[in-house]
Parts: sequence; structure tokens; C-alpha cells
Amino acid sequence: MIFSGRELEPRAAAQMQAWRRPGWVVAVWGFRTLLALLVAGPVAGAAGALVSGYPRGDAELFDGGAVMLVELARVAAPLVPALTAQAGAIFALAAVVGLVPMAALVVAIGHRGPLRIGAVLGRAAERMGALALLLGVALLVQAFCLVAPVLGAESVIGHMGWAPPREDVARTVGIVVGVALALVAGVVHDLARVAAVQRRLGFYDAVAMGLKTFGRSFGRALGGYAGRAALTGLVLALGYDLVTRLPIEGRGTVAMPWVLHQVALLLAVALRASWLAAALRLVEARAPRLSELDLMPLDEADLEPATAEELAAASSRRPGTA
Amino acid sequence: MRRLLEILAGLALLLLAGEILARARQPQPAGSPPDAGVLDGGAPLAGDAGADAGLGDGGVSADAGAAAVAPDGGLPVTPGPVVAPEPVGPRYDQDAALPAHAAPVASYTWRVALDPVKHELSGKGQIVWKNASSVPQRELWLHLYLNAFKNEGTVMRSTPASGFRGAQPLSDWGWISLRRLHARELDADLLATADKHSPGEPGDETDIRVPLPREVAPGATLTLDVEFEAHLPSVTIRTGWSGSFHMAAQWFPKLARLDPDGTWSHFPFHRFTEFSANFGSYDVTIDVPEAYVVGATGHLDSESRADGKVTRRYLQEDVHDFAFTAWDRFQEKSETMEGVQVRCLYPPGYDAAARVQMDVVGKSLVHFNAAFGRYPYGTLTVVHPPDSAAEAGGMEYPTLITTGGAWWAVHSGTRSVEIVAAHELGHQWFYGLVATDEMRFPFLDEGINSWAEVDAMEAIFPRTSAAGLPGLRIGLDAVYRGFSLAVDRDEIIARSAPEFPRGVDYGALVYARTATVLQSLGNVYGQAEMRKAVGRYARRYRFEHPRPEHFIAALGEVLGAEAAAASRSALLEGGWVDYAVEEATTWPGSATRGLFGEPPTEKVDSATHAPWSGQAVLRRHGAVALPVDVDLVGSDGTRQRTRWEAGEATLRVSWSGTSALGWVVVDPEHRVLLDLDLTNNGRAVERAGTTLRALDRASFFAGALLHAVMP
Repeated sequence: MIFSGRELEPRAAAQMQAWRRPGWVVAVWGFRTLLALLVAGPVAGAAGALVSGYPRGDAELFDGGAVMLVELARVAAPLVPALTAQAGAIFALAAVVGLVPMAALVVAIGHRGPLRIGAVLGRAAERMGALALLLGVALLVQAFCLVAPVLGAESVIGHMGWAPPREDVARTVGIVVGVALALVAGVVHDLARVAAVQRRLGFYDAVAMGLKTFGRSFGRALGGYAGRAALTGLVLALGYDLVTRLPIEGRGTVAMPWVLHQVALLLAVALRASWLAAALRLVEARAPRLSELDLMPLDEADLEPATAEELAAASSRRPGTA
Repeated sequence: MRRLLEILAGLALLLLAGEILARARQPQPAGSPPDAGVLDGGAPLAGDAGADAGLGDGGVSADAGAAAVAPDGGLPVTPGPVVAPEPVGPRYDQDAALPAHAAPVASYTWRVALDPVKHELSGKGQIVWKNASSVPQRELWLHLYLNAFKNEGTVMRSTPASGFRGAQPLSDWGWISLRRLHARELDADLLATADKHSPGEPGDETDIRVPLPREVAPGATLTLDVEFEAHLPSVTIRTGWSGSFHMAAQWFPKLARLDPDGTWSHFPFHRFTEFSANFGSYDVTIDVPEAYVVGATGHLDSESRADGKVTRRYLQEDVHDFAFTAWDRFQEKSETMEGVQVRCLYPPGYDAAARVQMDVVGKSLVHFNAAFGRYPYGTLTVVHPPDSAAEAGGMEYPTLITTGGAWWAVHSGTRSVEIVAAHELGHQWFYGLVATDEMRFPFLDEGINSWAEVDAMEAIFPRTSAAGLPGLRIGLDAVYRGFSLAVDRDEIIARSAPEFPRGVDYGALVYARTATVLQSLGNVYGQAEMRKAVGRYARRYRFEHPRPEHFIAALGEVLGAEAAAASRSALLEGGWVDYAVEEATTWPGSATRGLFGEPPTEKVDSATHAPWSGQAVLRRHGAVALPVDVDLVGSDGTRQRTRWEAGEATLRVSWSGTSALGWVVVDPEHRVLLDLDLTNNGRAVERAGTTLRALDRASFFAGALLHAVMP
């Protein structure tokens, strides 16, 4: 069959590195770029329609003083709800559909040798149920992590009767704590994701493994995630800033910003891949043995109906499971 | 017969118009007929001076036709036509022409104690008032502004004014109650006979008529002994208390402004209405608990401490209002700038905001001094209220301004704190020194001052006067332009404050559209010339009460009749403008291509002559006509620029070039910010301008966002 993961051979944990799979990193970037263009197209189209009568085209929008940019905002204001709804729908869809390229990237990093696209995608698609459930639960947990400290801070502010700037500082502390907790939940979520994909676990087992892995190596997990996240922010900010320093008009002033922006986005995807590789290594190297978790990995046979021999073998390893 | 009747009717109308004009121009004689004022047999109070020409507090208005208070004392109506004022002249381009002092008309001496626990003021003192008009007066009009916050039935609280400040519910009512009102020269207790309510507004007590037992002749002086109790409301529009912070504004019984023609400019306190008064001297002694820092109009003359109280005396001449603030938590910075002692009072934790405000005030002082005449006072107090009292911020009083903004705003790259500081400082000229009627013509102070604010901010932060973020440089003029278009294009700016139905109308027209009109004039005729025109107006009418015609006449003197006509249309008549490229075409060849001669044997090839021709049709919609440039751009980038005076509504321009006509753009530098729609100012003939930059930026932001939401 086309989507089969039978021939995939796990790589040694120490060799699970993103740079070994540049093609897959580029593919994920390409997928995201397509989605970004889908979101940006109507916005740019609306903007372009309003300034295309000018010989300088959309360069008018970037002049100092922003007369035309403000004019665009004013004239296009009625379109904003529709464009926002459309972008929101694409983002929501991307969050779910994007699980496939993410899982494919994890599969590619976690396995050695030349890989067939079909095999990788097959393995990735296989875990979609667990990954989607993980995503939903993680979103709920992260929302709670974000909101609870903020509400707590508001309660303290009200109780203490604080005024700015103390009020704002307390609120900021609440937000920072909330974001930090949400990031911790995100790290556990990622560990559970890679465990689900690499070890082919179901939802509960993946969560358990993610938590256990985090518990055993939270320093490396948090450090690995936070360092790359900070670097990602820096890369994106640098990409933005460099382009703002370029002249708006002249030779290469359309192509060069595009290149710089896309390089920044590509690096961001590479850093994400690097983190997923690090998460894989943590799961593989630091995760408890399966027997400790009372888990049984799903094997290749799950892709097709199990044969009687396979069922018997499984039953012999763990009575009561089929 | 019909023709004869028409002629007679025309003659009659002409005669009537002439009579009206003659009456309007004729100064009233000093000392009117006795029957004009003496009603109860008393001898009229003798005057010591006649009226002189001018607009000041001691003179007669040259354009009395603009009087706008309704005869029944109700809300004002839009002013009618006025007579053109006398020319100002280039003398007023220099500070040497500035008057040293205002003619004092209403001077106040108060001794007031603030109880910061009860939020009460108890005051007593004198008002010395001179009848500076040409008409004997049988009544005074007294504003008791704090009564606007007495209950929900006042004009302030009951008039719908959506989209404007002061809409929040009050947790504590405000009021003022007179305990004594005695006229010395008339030896009369005026309190008993004073009206209790504003005329025609039984629920309002902010506009009180005080009948006089005898008339006060022109030039005569009346001394009123006054005692009052007042309670500040929980902080609301410009005044009130929050915790231990107190902003005492509109806190004392204040005489309405008497115009030179004998008309009282009085009004119930409306949500949109600010203030207008005659100039005078203020001598105010304030008692507060010792822990309280006080900021007030004028300079501190003396200070003494006793029994846990501190008593401070503030003096200021040549002003028309007095406000003070008291708080036991104020931090303070002070510095002498341009010879003015500038003091900033601010909440704890707002040091950076205070530094920024001091910096902007210093730079704006230099700018405004040069443009509009030197600031004549020795002090300026900048008050940044605490966050809980933000409604007290963003207001101007003579030598005291209130600002506002979050403590972190100065780190955000936006200029909100700076803008408010520059705006309120500008009011020292447009409201303070040029004391226009803020109720009848709010655009004369808020609008001109908004332009002055943009002018100063652009001088300090060129092209980033609203925000200076990486990759995003927004000018305040662009923001005002956008806001000015939030209401219909033909709405009239020059309306009295209560005539605006909504806060957004008031804000968009009075502040933003006026600033946009003036900024457009500056862009078209040169900002230096525009500054010169407004400076001439500001110097000429310092310590006076000019009206719209005076402002427009000053613009016309410097910028020309065309500019005056445009500003009159845009400010007074609801004029608007939209330049548009209606059509643009191009074709190969020209008149030089083809066969010529007789017989037609001479063949001319377009390749050796101007091979491309073209044509554009431009249209100016609306009544405002300002000259603009028109660019015809070839597809090879060559450019032909034409000046369109825009007197005619349609212009046809021809293209003859070595390439096809690619684009036509009217007003390519966006000088006429008043232009309703900038998207129709350019038209591509064949190939549209690129939109790839927009696509790149939008896709980068989308990609970065996807990075946050995608797994």
C-alpha cells in the first residue's frame, strides 16, 4: 500500500537531529508558506487594488508619515471583519491540518535511511487521532494556565487597591506567569506528541510518557525549548527589522525583502524542527522503559488488520491486550 | 407689472440689508439712554471710560453681527454672517507688536480652603468687574459650573453626548452654593434676587442671571463680595476627586463673558462646552493640609504653615480662569525653559513619562514662542493626574495644563503622552492668550490648536509624530485626516458646541477636520507661510476674543484670497474636495504621423517623432479649490508635471512622450490632506503598480503567526 510505515527503521536517539533531514524541514516551510500566502493574498489584494493606480504601486503604503497606509486602513475597514474571519478559519484549520507535516517531520527525524514520502506520511497520518486529541486538551490546559494567573493577579490588585504602575506590574507578572505555565504545558505537549508519533502511542500513553519525560529531564526540556523559542523570536525580529532598513524603491527592493523574510521563516521552521529532534532524543533517552508505564508500543501491524499470529504474539507479551 | 414689483421688492431688500449692516457697524454710544437700564428708580452706576474699537475686553466688536446666543437665553445657534475685519498687517509678524497686558474686566480674589476628606471647598473673596461694554448693564450672568454634577437632571448630565468624555456614572455628586453675593457700589444683596436655574432649563443651575437694582454704566466698576461652599464630584469631565487626588477646576462662581456690544456670552454647562471669560487678575490663597502638594495657575507668591495646614497664595494677571490641584502623593520635577519656570507634578512611578513631557513642553515652547508670540507668563504647571483620575487629564487652564497617559506609553513607540502635552501647551495660545469663544466657535481653539500641535510634533518628530515604530512611521496629520473623515463630508465645522449631536462629530470636525484643513493649506502654500499667517492672527488678537472672520482674514492676508476662500468654504460652509483621475488613455503616434503635403507624399514616421500620445481627464469634486500638481508618468518612468490651479472643476491634460502614458496622478505628494479619497488620485493606463511588497509583508506576518499556532 502507498501509506505504509513498515520499512521505517528507528534511528539511534543520539542521531535524531533536524539537520539530517533538510528536505523535510524545507517541505514544512513550503507548506507554511503556502498557508501564509493563502491568508495574505486577499489582504494584499485589497491593499493593491487601492494603490495600484499609483506608478509606485504599494510603495505608497510605506512612505514616512503613512498617509496612504492610514487611508488604506480607513477605506478597507469594512473588509476587516471578513478578512479576519477568513484568516482565523485558515489558522484554525492550519492548527489541525498542520499536525500531519509536524508528525511527518518527527517521523523523518526519528528514522534513518532514505525515506519514502508515502511511508513517512502514512506513519504521520496514523497518529492523527491521538495528536488531535492532544492538541485539543493542550489548548484547554494552556488556556487555563494563561487565564488563572491573570485572574489571580486581578484579584490581588482589587484586594490591595493598587494603582499604576504597581497595578500594571502585578498584571504583567500575572501574564508572564500565565505565559510561562502555558509554555510548560506546550513543552509537555510536544514531548507527548513526539512520543505518540515515534513510539506510536495512544493519547493516554503519550501524555503519560510526555509527563514522565518532562519530570525526569525538565531542565533540559525547558532549556531546549526556551532557548530555541528565544532564538526563533530573535530571527523573526531580525528578519522584520532588516527589511525595514532596506529602501522601499529601487533595484531588488521587491525581491530582497521577500528573500530575507522567507529566510527568517525558514530558520524559524528549522529551529522548530531542532526542538522536535531534541524532544525526540529526550523521549528516547530519558523516557522510562515501557514496562514501567505498563505500555505496549503499537507495531507495524496496526497499519493493517492483525493476523492471528500477531494477535497471539501480542497476547503472550501482555495478557488481556489484543 | 410683475417686473415692476420685482424691482421694488429688490430695492426694498437692498435698503433693508443696508440698514442692518449700518446698525451692525455703528458703535453704541457710551452711556445709553436712561430708560435702557434704570427700572427701579436708582441712579445708574457711572462709568469712567467710553468704549473703544477692537475685540478686547475693553472694546467694541467690529463684527457684532456674529452674536449667537439665543434671545431666550437657551442654547446657542450657529453664527450668522459677519463683517470683514480690519487688516492685521505685517507688524504682527514680530513680537514687538504684542500688547504687554490685557485690559482687566473680571478680577477675582479668593481665600479658599480644601477639605480633602470631605472633598469640599469653602471660599470667600471679591470679584471686581468692569462693564467694559458699550451698553449699561442691569444684570450679571454667573456660571456655577460645579452644579453641572449636582444630579442627573442637569444639562451636562441629561444631554446625550455619546462618544465623549465625562459619560461615566458619578459616585459622588458635585455642587456649588452661594452663601453671600453683595454688590458694594450698589449696596445690594444680590443673592435673594438671583435666579435659581438656568434660563429655560429648570433642572440646571450652572447659568444664573443676577438682576442688578440699578444699571452699571459702561466703564463703571462693580465689586462683589462673595462667599460660597462647593463640593467636588468624583472625578469626571476635567474636575473632581479620586482618593486623595483633587482637581479643582470650574470651582468658583465665575462671571460669564460680556462682549463689547453688551451681550453676555452665557450658557448652561454642556458636555461639549468649554469655557470663555473676560481677562482679569487672580489672587487666590489656598489652604490645604500640610502633606498636600499644590499646583495652581500663576506664581507662588507666599507660603506659610501652621496647625498642620499650609497656606499658599498664587497671583496671576492677564488670565481668564484659575484652576488648582492638590494631592499628597505628587512627585515633582521643575526646570526653567525659555525663561519660564516649568513644573511637572506626576504620580509615583511616572518619572519617565514626566521626563518626556518636560522635554516635549520645552521643545514646544520654543516652537510656539517663535510661531505665535512669546509666552508672557513666568510659570507653567504640567499636571499628570493619577490613572484613577484620568478624566481630569487633557485639559488646559491659564499657566496650568493637565496631561495623561499610561506610565509605559512612553516606551511603546507611540506618542500619545507627547501629543497630549504638546496639545495642552498649545492651548496657552489658542484659548489662553487668544481667548476665543469656546462654546460658540470651538474650532477656533481646539481646531487651530490641533493644527498647532501637529505642527510642533512634526517639528520635533518628523514624519513620526504619531508613532515611530520599526517599519511603521505614522504622522499625526495622517491620523487626523483619517479621523476627520469619520463623519459626512459636508458637515459644517463652525458650529457651536451644543449643536454637535455626537462626540464623534465634535471630535472629528472640531479637532481633526480643522487641523486637516489647516495642514492642507500649509502643505499647499508652505508651512512657514501658514505659521506666519496663524502667528499674525495670534499676535494681533492676544488678550482679545476674535471670531472666525478674523482668523480667515489673517489667512487671506498671508496666503492669499484663494486660500481664504478655501478655508472659508471648508471651515464655515461644509466645503469639501475630492480630486480624481476620471480617465486616462494612450495611443501610439501623434499628429506628426501620416502623410502630409499636397499632394500627400511626405510620409512622417512616428518612430522619429513623439511616438506616443495620451490624455487624462481630471475632476475636482466639491467646493474647496486648492491648487495641486498633476504627474503624467510614462511607462518608461519619464514624468511630466503640470500645475492645476483647480479653479475649474475639470482639467484635460495631454501626454506626448517617447513611451506610452503609464499612469496619471493628481496631488502625488498628498498635500491636500482634505482630499476625501486618495485612492482615486492615481490611475494606471495599462499596467498596475506592483503589490508584491504588500504581499510580502502580509505573508511574513501570517507566517510568523502560523508559527505560533501551528504545531
